[in-house]
Amino acid sequence: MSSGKKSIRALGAKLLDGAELPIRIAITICGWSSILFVGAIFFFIFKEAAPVFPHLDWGEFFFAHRWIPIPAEGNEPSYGAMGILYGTFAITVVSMFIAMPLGLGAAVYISEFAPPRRKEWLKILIEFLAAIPSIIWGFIGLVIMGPLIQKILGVEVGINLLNASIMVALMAVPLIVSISEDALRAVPDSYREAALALGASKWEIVYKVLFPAARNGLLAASMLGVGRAVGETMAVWMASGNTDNIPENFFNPLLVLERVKALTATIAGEMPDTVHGSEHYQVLFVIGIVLLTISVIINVVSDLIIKGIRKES
Amino acid sequence: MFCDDNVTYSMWRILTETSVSARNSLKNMNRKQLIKLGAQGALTLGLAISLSSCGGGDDLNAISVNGSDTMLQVGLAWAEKYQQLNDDIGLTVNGEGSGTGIKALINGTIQIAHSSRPMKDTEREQIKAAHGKEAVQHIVGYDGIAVFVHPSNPVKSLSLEQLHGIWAEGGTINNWSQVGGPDLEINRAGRNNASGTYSFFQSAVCGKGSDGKGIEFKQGTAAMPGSTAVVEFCETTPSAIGYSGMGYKTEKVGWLQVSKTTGAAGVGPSNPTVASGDYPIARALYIYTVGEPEGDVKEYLDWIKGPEGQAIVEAESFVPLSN
Amino acid sequence: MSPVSSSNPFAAGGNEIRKQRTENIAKNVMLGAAILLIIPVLVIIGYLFYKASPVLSWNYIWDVPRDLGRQGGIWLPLIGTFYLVIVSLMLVAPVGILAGIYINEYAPNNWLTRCINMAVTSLAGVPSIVHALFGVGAFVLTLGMGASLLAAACTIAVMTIPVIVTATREALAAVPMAFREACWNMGATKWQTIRTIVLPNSISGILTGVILEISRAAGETAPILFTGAAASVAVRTATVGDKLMPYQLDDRFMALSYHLHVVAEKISGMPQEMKYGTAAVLIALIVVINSFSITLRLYLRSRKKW
Repeated sequence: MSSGKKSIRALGAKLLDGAELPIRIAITICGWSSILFVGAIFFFIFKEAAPVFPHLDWGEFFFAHRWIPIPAEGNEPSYGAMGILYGTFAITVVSMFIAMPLGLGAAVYISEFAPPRRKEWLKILIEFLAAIPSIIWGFIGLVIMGPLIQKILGVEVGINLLNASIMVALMAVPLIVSISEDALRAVPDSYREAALALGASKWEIVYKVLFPAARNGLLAASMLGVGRAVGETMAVWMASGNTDNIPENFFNPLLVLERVKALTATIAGEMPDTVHGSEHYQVLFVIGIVLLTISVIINVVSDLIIKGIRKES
Repeated sequence: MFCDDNVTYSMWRILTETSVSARNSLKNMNRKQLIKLGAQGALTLGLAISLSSCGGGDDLNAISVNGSDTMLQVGLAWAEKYQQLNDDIGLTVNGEGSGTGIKALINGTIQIAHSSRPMKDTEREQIKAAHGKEAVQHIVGYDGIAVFVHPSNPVKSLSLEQLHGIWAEGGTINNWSQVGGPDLEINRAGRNNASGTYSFFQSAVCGKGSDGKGIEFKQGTAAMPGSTAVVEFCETTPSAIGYSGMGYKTEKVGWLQVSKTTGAAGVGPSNPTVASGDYPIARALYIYTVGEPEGDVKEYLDWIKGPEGQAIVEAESFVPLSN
Repeated sequence: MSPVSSSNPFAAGGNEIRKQRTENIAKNVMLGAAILLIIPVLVIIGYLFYKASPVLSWNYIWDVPRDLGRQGGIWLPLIGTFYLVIVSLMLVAPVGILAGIYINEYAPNNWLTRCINMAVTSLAGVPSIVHALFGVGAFVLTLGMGASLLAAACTIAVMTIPVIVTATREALAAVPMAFREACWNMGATKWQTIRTIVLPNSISGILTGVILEISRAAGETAPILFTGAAASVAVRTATVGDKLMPYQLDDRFMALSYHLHVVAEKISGMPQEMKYGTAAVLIALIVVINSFSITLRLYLRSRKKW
């Protein structure tokens, strides 16, 4: 019996070994598949959007603040997405204002100050933070953070730019922490030792030695955080108030309490109600192209920066 | 996709051949045969996936429904109840918008389209062209669009004119104090631009300008992710105003009485006022089918129009036909 | 310089005291950042579970949604999520793992490989809503799948390729080169080496990637919004068998993440605890899945032999 089993196993091994060429072909095809999929994403998004290219007024799309894809009877639709572009921009900026100090602080603490055991725990907790799905953040923004903002700040509307930005910041922070921590760890210990020998305190090492030495990595971390904020959908949709608004005064800090509308939320909200192949549908794919372009640029550039660091160290 | 007998046969053939060639390859390891084996295996897998994907709904008489988001609740309630009564019917209900529902009816992917607006002539022509049959309209109930406010709001009644001032582009009412309320800026919450409720409320309240063209909503009106989200926004925001089907009323939100002219007595949305036409912002709920419905679809529609279906219409706070 | 140092040459000078103070402040600020991140989130999640506690029971898990989700349980969305995960995993795992093997073991150091790496990075950064648009264009319309479980699973699969590729690549890279060289010296071919030496030594790492993919697939909402998730499906649920097999590949399906969106924003008169219950189950699911992955990784590190 056992010899039979053995021979079957040997046969299986022989079969697998003999299949070197087909397996190699399969592996190679799968290896190239990522390129294929990225190409396919570009192809299909462009394909669905393409029919609208010739008659879309691009100046209006980027610089007009009037988003009425399905107009009232007798009117022409207008696709002025400036308010929506502003919304995405505003959420990105405000969320980075919250996420960068938190993320950087946590990364420095984990990498330089925390005792080893606490370090492990913090890393695991932050990993859990990263795993929480965006719909949960949206739900928290809607039912917990919204009323909290209303109560604490005494404002009328709790789902607004601030709320969405806090949610997006919490989602972006784990990414920022892990990339920043990698960047800080990549700084050779000899730098730290040299600074110590010169009498520097730990904090002085951090901001006089580590920050300059790891600045590319920290830059990459913030860029990936930006990418996350730009592309976030559900949390933004549910917590931002989804209102096409541009504030009159950009220097009034109270603008964080205004409701905004983001690119991603526009697609998520309007896509189900649009008819496939209509102009509105195609313009939503144009928004998709804008998002795709931003995210690919951000990711490729930050990847190059990170690779550069690896090569140096 | 590939649901014909030919494919089934070829799949069977490939399966048997595969097992033969697998046996051969055990005797005589040969690279070429192995490549063939791999290719056939992949093909078989692909066919198996495509076949199993068209095997769905074999055992159930499937009816697919799509259309108005407003009618999603009542549509789901109909389906749930009907399913309990008729075990052999499989009903899938979705509410992706009236336009999408009608488009799906044109494409033949659904049998029943819910719509909160009457079908356009161009859509009727497309149905005719695609199926050779007329689209048939069934009115299954009525819906009043209520104007929701925070329950603490002292404003209880507004005229259509005042609503126009609040909602329409160029309207001058931006603060509750202008209509006898507290000194609070008005926060407007509506639906997204492609929703049927949006366009109905737009035509009923914003109306048309003197040039015969429709007037759009004011900038800065929130596009909430769902009808319930509008109501919840009004529950929690003292300065809010929002519109949604009267079916979405809860105890924690207030709604306005609406009068046709300023000074006249306001009318609240209710079954009798909507059915009689006294409440000015009301519409019919439609179901569309291609041609006169037959078989299961007919039974389902008759049931919807019958007492049990209409009881659900009323339970979901729409206005039933009998009123 | 200061009078203190003249009496005791080893006492901390004013400069050093100031330095020490800055150091302490800095350290506490950093610790504060870490705490500020984690404590409120833990409190919020605890609050979610507290609010959900009235409904949380085995019956809530096993019962199907009734009265549009206002009553009953969440079995249909839960099993829908399960199916979505399984189908997407079946699609993505072979491709992702083989791609990881290619990049780490076979790929020559040339521009094509750099392109592949760039593509993996880009794919990871594409916003989920753009993946949803891609799913509509490619799977729902062009390949004619319609909005269905299969289309949604394909969309999720494409989205999660980078998760598996990256994990596989890292796991393979962690196997020392000497292992491979020893095997080659015995006359083994490249594939034999990978199969008998490299894969067995990196399987836990690859498994971590698979678990992460499961976690992503279970939580994502945006990619399934237009590719197959339904607010409600009426299916037969009379018997246990029906309950376990409610969906076919070409059916629309319910998913836990989308169900949360529906009960939170689309159905009126939804009892609060039903919303919180759905959120709590989703969080619990994600936490359990991720605990597996973390435990696996810690175990792996503890028994690493090289």
